[in-house]
Amino acid sequence: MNVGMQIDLIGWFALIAILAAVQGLSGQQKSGRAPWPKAAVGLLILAMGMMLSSVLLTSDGSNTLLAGIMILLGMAAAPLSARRKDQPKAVDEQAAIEPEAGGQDSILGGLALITIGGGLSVALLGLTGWLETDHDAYTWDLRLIAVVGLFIGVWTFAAGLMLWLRLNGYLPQSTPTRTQQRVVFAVFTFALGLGALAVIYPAVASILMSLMVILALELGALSALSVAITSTTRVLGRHLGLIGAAIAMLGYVQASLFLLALGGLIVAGAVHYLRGRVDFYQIKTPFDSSR
Amino acid sequence: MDPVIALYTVLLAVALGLSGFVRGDARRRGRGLLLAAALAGFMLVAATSALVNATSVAGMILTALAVLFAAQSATTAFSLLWREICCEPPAKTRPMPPTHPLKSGSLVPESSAKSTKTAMLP
Repeated sequence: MNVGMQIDLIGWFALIAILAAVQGLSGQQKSGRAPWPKAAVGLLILAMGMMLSSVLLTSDGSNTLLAGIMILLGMAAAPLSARRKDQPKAVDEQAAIEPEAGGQDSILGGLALITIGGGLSVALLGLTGWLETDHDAYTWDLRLIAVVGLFIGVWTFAAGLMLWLRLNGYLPQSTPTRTQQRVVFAVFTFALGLGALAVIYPAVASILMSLMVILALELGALSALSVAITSTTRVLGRHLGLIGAAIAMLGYVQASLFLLALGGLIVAGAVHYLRGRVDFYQIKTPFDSSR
Repeated sequence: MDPVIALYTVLLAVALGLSGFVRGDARRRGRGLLLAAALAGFMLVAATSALVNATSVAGMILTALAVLFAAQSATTAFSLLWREICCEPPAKTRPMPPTHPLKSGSLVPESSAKSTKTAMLP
């Protein structure tokens, strides 16, 4: 991938701001509250603005306008996916049992949309990396990262889409079976094998990568459908971690220590959500109602 | 970039993140999940860097779309995180986490769901 963002002084300041924001949001005072959560979000936004400014201002200016327009368009589209859902469409047994489950579905639906957007972005960057990399023997690491990025992106996109459809009641509720999990494992192994062959034999990579993308789509659908709806946060945590791994790989390609460190932080943050219970203050649970 | 330096950087960041993110209260884990999503929004920086350095038309189109989706994803994550912070109750009325054992991965306390089910029976 012919990108090559070198980390500069701004990146170190942004990393310090992000670490301070993580502490401000996840630290705990005696009262049980985070120390300064709103200022921490402000620091995160400041870090994002600093990094975007440094990337845009240090470029040659040929695509700066296009980048600015795309960023503004994406920000304008975000309120559509982050809106609060008052009347849940899903009228199933679980929603009838839990009156507040619609709110939980709403925020999880928002997280599913985040994984859809992140997955698409990672997949497109992986494809760009493949197209812009020379297929010589010594660039095997860049080809490997491009193929893995494409696989992660398509898998994350498909899983997020299936979760969003399930949470909004467009798909019937299914009970996961042992056979489904075996099929998921088989498809995962086969897709990885195809990806490895595409890296080793770049001459026939188009066919192999097309097959791998189809299998990754199927894998995302199967992996999102083969879990109970109560385990949604595990799937979301896994795919956020995969996006973090993709960011770290992009950091390697772009020679950016900032992206490498950030990818590691995201992987660490997502590991906690692969097990255990996750609640949100936005949602009033039956436990709160009884108080 | 030297792969060894990259590996060390990632390992250090993972260790730092494992010690920094909250693990106790289930509600604070919910906020942490949103924080991880907000950090994943920094994908926008990588996508923008790829766009401004794109050398071919196909690369420019693909990376422009990547920037669009990354910006949408990042803004959604920040919006959900901000809403979660604003919904945190004051310290005096903050509910304590339930003390009874919960089923792993469950979104609803098992006992609450059972009692509601029983109450709905004819």
